[in-house]
Amino acid sequence: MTGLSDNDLQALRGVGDPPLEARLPPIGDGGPEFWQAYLGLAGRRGLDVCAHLDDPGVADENFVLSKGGALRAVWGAAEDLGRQIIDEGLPYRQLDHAQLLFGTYGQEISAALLLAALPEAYAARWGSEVLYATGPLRSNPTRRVRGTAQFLATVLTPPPKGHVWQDTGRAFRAVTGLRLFHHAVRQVFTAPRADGAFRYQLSPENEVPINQEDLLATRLMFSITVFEVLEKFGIVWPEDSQLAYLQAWYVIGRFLGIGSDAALDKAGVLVGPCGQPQPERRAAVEPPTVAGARALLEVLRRRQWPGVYPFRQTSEFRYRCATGGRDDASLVQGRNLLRALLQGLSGAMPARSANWPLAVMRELVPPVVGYRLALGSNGAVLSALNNLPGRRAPVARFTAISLPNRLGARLLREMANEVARNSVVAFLQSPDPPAFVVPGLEQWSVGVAARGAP
Amino acid sequence: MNNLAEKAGGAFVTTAWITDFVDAGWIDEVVATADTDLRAHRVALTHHYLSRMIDWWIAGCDSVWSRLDHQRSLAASPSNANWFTFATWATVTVNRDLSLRRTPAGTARLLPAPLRRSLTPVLLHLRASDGQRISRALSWAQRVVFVSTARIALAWLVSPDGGIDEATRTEVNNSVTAAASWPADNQPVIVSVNNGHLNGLWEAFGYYAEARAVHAGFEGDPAAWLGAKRGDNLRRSTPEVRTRVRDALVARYVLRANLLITAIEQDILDEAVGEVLDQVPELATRTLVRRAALWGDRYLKVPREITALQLPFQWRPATWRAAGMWARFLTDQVLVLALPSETLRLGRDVPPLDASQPFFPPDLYDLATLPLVGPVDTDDGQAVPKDVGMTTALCDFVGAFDRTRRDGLGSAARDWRRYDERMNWAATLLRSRQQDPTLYWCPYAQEDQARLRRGELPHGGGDPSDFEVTAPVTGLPTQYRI
Repeated sequence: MTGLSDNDLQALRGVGDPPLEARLPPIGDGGPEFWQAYLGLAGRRGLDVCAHLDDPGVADENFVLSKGGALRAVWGAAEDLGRQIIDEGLPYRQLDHAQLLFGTYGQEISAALLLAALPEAYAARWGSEVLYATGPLRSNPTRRVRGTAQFLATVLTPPPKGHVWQDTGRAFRAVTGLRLFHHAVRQVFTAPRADGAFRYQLSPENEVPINQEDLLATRLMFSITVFEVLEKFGIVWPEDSQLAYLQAWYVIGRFLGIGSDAALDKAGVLVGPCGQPQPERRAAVEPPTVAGARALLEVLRRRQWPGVYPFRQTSEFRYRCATGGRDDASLVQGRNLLRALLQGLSGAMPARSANWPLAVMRELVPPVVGYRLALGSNGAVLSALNNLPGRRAPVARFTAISLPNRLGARLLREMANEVARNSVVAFLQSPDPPAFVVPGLEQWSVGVAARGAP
Repeated sequence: MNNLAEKAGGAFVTTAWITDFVDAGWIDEVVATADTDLRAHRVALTHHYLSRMIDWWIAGCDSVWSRLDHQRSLAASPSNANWFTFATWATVTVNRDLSLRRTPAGTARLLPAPLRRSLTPVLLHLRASDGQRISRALSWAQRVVFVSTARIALAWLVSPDGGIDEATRTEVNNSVTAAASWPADNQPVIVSVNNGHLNGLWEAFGYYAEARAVHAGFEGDPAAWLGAKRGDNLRRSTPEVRTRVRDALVARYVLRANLLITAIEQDILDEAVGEVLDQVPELATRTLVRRAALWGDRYLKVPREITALQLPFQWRPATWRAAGMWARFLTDQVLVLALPSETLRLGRDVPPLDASQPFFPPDLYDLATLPLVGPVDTDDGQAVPKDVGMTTALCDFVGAFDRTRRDGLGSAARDWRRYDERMNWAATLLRSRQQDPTLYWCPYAQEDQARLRRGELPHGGGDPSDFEVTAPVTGLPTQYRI
């Protein structure tokens, strides 16, 4: 099996979600307005927009959505695609294992996502542009983070009984909603306005926003980055646990249209250099081993995280020309996204530990991300702890990894958990819609939220 | 009288010999000054006069020194320190590190007096070691930054109001590149400028020009910056409101220029700063390697050449960690910036200028919106007004560097070698101190200015932390002003 090359990934940048695009019923006139209204409704009510269609006020709120039952038809088409995936068979044993891991290490995983995976996504040179353009950054910087956390809790929290991946289950509805949300972003960003101009002027690399390359990278950041962070906390999952968690994200990815056959066909990934079909290359998108997934993420990171040379000549001539000699066009967007994230996280912390989110982030992300996002460095104590001699731990028969010093790892883990805990409480107590709810603990969520009410 | 004085045409009061210092011939003379110590003082003094000239260029009779000369209150309207104003004091602070005759800035605070007496020779010895590498790196970096900023500033100052033409731009770029390169030994220098830097500097000085245009023309035609609808609304308001909006807009253009020039200057200096801060760990490593090589040769019969070649590679992780800790120690305990009315430690959060006042000046407090003008409706088919584009870009630019939470908390640098750490601190400093008029004080007494002009070293170092700077007295006749 050969991995994805630079050319493959470049081709995947031009592909969105072909199966969904083929199946969705035509909206008719006003398509972009329909999808704009969809984004607004999802932002206010949550991803499961169909659940709120009969709520009082929704029809008045967005007349476009109520027009001709278009939304129900669109939702139904997306659900059909999801059902196909369920019919093909899901690895339920591994999904259960992943949910068990999330139940055990929920705080650490949440911390990894908030303090490492999100910053890593913001450091991406092209994806950050779309994130910046879509986010209600100035009006409500924490809404996106809360939405991401809600999605994660919805798809990974084990239900009290039954299975979360049934076609009427909450996880199924969340992934269906997110898939349509991504589609709506693509439609809104690529549709010209009445005067011919585009609502958002994205760079040529984002001709298709939320494309297959960005989706692949995000999926791996939500899984492999978690392993990397847990290792920094001194926690090493055995290989089968890592594989189960990775498989869970592969399943979530399939529901979101990541790496579908149609997408790979369209990008020409399944065709060899001499035009011969190579169906076995499907595995390159979903590497069957953790090592393979790490290797794929490494390739993506090399593409997405070029070094920072603020005002110097870079090797990328085309990019340099586009930014007038400065390599900071994507950096500014990513850094402002990070600033909004930090403001949200720091605001949730008690005053004396308000700098913990930034301090932990500095230790968790790779150095290049730190430079791209202008994270700065920690003081002498945290740096010294991070530099204490560590130990090695076997993760497979012939593989061992370097673990950090126990003292430093313990301290980092406690700090990260504290940030995650405070953030979740802030999410629960936030007065902005949609309300954050821990699945299976709806009453408890309401109780915690009520404690924060004025 | 040079062309700048002719252009001024007596419209402003020149104190001392301001137009003599803001002159192409003088800048060439400073750049060509061979003596490092003398050149450093000349650079600081020229920065001071350039800052005054740019202040006058933007604000005319509202500039700080015009108001001092005409006995008008400085509190009546806000002043805006430009990049040269800050550079004056940064240069004066760094000048201590260029000279071998004085201890580095910040060490006096760190060391108790008896210890200082015994450690000063060690510090001076360290600085003189390795062919005076610190002094050379710093002075070359200072020269490169000076020549690039001063030449471009001068081109703007003498330009017609239409702006800079391409021929002038090319000519200035060529002269800067020639002065900043070192063709004699055909070696790449660690500190140099390239087109990315120069383009950015031209862009930044364009913001000063825009600030000037706002100051001169905003009250007559606010619609040019605010759009037709909001401009008309403002035109119907009181003159005080219009002046308040104008001042806020001017302050934002100046902040944007200051921040962009600082970002470029810090990129130019990046490697030199690293060289300077890493010098002690490198020297220590080299000494240890030499000792180990000699011992190995003597007692273990391992040729010292082999040990000396291999050991630095084997020790690299430890050396890297030690250098990191040393840089953190220096940043936290030694590095300072001496301003006329305060000495700021780079390893500490930038403190408020006045505890009873807001941390940032009112004109720069909320960068996202312009005070007293309503929001703009961008969906009405109208073009986005200039002020909205500017404030959005300024917010993004500040947000790209600023990692503080509020009131300067989190601005402290930990490792001054890092570009992002320096810019985080600088962004807070520039924004919080931009409207502090004391920054316009002159670092040198009148006699010392004359000495520098003649090519003699000044008696004083211009260092406010050594009480060498005196405040100008409002209302003195111009000829007695320093």
